[in-house]
Amino acid sequence: MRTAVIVFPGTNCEHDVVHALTALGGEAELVWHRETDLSDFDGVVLPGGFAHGDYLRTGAIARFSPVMAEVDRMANGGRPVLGICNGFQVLCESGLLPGAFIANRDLAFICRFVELEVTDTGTVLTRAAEVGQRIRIPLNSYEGNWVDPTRSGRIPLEYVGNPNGSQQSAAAVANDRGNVVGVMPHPERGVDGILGSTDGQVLLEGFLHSLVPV
Amino acid sequence: MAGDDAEIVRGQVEDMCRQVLANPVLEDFSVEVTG
Repeated sequence: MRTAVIVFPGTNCEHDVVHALTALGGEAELVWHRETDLSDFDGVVLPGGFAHGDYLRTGAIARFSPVMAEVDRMANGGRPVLGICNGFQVLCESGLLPGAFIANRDLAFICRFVELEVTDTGTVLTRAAEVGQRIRIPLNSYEGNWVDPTRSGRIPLEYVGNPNGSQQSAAAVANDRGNVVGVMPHPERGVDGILGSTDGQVLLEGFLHSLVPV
Repeated sequence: MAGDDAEIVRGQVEDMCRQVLANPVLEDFSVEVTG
């Protein structure tokens, strides 16, 4: 099973994602944002960073990248689609996930470990976890404050202590089917004890287990 | 944005606002044609 890890100009977490997925037994490949065919891939990850420099708004330019038509096709076809940090912002701008992002409540960049609680295991990100399970992984963002005036989001992970003011303490948001998920903290930075946590493993293992052959 | 037909220009700018310049989840916009 192969995962496409999309690289926009300004993406900076793509190698971390490939390393993490590979370390967990998956097969992951970097794919430039101009690619227009992902039919050989079983799932896709939009990694963190600053796609297209985050000009205008986070994710606002990236949603027009050529590869996004294929991401949309995969999402609507039920394939696992995961956006991490900036990738989460791109998914919201694309309309694949509800809501939008504004600056953190305290108008400060947050770069530290945060604790999360699993609240819904019916998504590709949380299917290997248990409801109530606590997960400690790094948060690294300025515009991580998720808001959704429609309150239509499905929230599989909540912050414990809500560090950035996200509505409903949402650390992750999924679509109704649970195959498209965005998560603001970085599970790929929590897969090795030397990084200070292995709690991200259960999330990425869930993603990998959701992949089925094309 | 310059143009000869005010309504065409307005439509183009509204499209730009709707598709990229404004985030419709959080923002509204208005367009004013001058001249």
